[in-house]
Amino acid sequence: MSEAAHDVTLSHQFDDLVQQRESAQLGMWLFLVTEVLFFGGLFMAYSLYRMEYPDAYAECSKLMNMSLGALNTAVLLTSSLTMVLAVMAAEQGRIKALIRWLIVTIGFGGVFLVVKAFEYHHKFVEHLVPGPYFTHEVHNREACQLFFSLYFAMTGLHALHMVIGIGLLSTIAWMASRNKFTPAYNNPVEISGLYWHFVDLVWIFLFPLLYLIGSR
Amino acid sequence: MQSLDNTESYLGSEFNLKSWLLTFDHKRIGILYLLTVTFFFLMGGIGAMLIRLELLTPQADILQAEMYNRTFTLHGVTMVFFFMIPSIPAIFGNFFLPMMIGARDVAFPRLNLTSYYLLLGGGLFALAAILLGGVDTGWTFYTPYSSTYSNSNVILMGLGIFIAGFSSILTGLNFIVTIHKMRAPGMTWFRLPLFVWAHYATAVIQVLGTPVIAITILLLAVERGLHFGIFDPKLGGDPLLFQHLFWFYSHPAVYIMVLPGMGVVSEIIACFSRKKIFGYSFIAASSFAIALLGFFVWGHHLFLSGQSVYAGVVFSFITFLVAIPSAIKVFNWIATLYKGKIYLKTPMLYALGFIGLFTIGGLTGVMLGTLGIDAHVHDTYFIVAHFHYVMVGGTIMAYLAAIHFWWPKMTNRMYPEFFGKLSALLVFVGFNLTFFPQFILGYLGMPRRYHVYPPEFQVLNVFSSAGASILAVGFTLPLFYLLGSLVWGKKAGRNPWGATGLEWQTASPPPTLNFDKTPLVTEEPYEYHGEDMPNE
Amino acid sequence: MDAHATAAPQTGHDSPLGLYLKVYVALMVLLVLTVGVAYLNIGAWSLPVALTIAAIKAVVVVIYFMHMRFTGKLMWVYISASVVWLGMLLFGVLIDVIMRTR
Repeated sequence: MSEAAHDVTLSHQFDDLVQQRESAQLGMWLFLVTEVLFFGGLFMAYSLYRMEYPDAYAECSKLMNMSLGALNTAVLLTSSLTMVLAVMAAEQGRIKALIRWLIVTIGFGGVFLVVKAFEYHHKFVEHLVPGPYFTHEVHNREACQLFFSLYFAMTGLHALHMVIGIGLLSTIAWMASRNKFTPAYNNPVEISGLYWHFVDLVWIFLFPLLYLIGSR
Repeated sequence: MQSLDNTESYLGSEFNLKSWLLTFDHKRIGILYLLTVTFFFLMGGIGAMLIRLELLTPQADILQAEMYNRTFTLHGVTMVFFFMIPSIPAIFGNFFLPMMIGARDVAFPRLNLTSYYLLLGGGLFALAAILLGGVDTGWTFYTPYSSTYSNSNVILMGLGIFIAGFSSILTGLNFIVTIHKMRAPGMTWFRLPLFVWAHYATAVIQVLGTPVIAITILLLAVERGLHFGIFDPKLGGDPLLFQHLFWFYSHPAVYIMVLPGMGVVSEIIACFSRKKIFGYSFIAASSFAIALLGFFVWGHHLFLSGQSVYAGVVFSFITFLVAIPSAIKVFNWIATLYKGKIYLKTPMLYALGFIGLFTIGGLTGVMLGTLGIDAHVHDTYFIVAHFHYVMVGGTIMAYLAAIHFWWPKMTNRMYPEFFGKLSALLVFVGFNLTFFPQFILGYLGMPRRYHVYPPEFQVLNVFSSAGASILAVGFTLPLFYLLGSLVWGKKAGRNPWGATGLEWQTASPPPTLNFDKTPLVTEEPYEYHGEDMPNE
Repeated sequence: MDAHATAAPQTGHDSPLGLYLKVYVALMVLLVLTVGVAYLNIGAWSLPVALTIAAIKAVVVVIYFMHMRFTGKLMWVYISASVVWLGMLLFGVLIDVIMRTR
């Protein structure tokens, strides 16, 4: 007990580093569980309206830019790889590599957001934003607006989580640059990685559900 | 920042404002919650008094229709989101859960403080919404009224609830990790106090359910603010989508409100019967059964909204099932009382009140789960009476029981027993006088959420309002005598009730790190053997 | 506590790097498959197929990138619970909508 009390990486409520690490992991997984239900409400709304208006969904999904969507999916999958390489570097005590991989991951996240911004801009220009300015030619104006409402809600919420994730990873990179992490203590890297992968997972489902309805 | 010096009590170790407002100590955080939650209880209570004053006569008196709508919304929102849901878990769960498992604190103390500020922040948004004129949609915010047509501060109030929701989620998360990872040596799962089991089940609901209402409110705010419509019938949107999403959380939410109370009752019944709790594992399992089944009954709030009748039948059947684990608890509590050495102290009076009143409320809930009955009494005072029986007759009784049971541990002072009993009596009498007539009123057809009513309902309404004033006295008295006890109360000592449980093994008030050294648990829980209570 | 949670999770004989790269390639292949399926004319089957491929990608990410293999059974319970709960929400609402009589 006295040895652990001098270890500055061990918080006072924990008895040892193992307990601390396992608690941090369980905590982050539980948080991801809440995120599943959080996004889940949107998936619920999406499912309901897709069931009611399948044709409108198919028609409006074709107005999405599939190539950009696929590109973004590839970008995020790659960022998950670089994230897991960052975690590996942390576990092996290679701090410079850790920082490098974190920056690359953040970079991919940035690419994703830039592509998304292009897509949003395109939607504005094409009058596909739901509400009084929705004047794009479609068969079912109302149902198509429902589709796009959910498109903006789901991708918007996802993008917000990406921004938070970038902020999180930047903080982790900064902490790494101050030598806060060792092979024995790198919980923040690992659990930030879990968060980042989760954001990727959400997109893995969003891509086919929003971009690939109806055959081409 | 509070020091980690364990030689002084958590109250005395540092006494400046900053050490309290920036504390990581779960006990101090519990006290912060106590202050905030009490404030919101008073605010919601003012709403209740205005309602009962208005309903003394069949005509409009002090509140016209528009204001009346805002008043009952204020009452509902404040009581549900800022009083009932935090109450027992945030105050007593925070204060005692770590102690009951022999830990120094919760798993994530900083997250715990964040949870507190989220409740406070959300509450401030809600307060702002109220001061700016309030909301007139009812606490249920049904669309498309709330999303399109209402001219009140829906977004601001919604944001307040959204933020407070995260307080609940993070508290639940914290408790789950704490219970899994921070138990003292020897504290096996089946040696845990039932209060801990109850809070685990509650935490599961908080984690799985609250995010759904969070996203629902967010969608509502986006629809109002940006005019995206997904609840808008003009766009082919389905108003029932909102109701499904809303009640998917809000039904389990009522179990967030009641399960901790049941945990409190288990502790108190055992202690004040001087007897081991009967059916420990059944009570523990029933908490999880309630949490589980409680997630699959939400459609019983939509019986008359246009939901499919076939879905209604399924939801009705599961609603019947969810009563069973609650009944199991009631039977086990009664079996515990049987041949026990009963001490009718204030906490026990409230706990006994819980058992009786919750049973009435629960049985009327089963009645409401019956499609045919609900068709007749939906949106009447029968519903109002039902949920007040379980929420007030149930949870608030348990809350008051908890305050009186653990006050000596938290403050090292005994409250005056005479006034404790007096308040309990006033609460019991006042409560029944207020709400029993409402069962009759609802059955006779008086609708809820109206500021006027047909004159033949006046007598029962007058009884109800009279009861409310007695109830108000019963609720307010404790404020005075509990505060007074801080100055004039008898010193309590370590264990004035002779209770089992680790929290009673340490000093009153407890030291900052809870125990002088980490306890080693060797006993089964509730090792009462009919011994006398100390000082009796 | 758990024996494996000491300094770092070990993957066994393989260097984790090789495993990660293999997983990455698999994910990319699945992505190509996802897009490819969209060009096939399989009518109502496109949704379940696309969701299945997405689910496979998700499981792969969870097991290999999120180190689920080294995480206790408790996490499995909670993750499954979240998916099941979401399923219950979808089921409950869709049952209502499908069975409404016009």
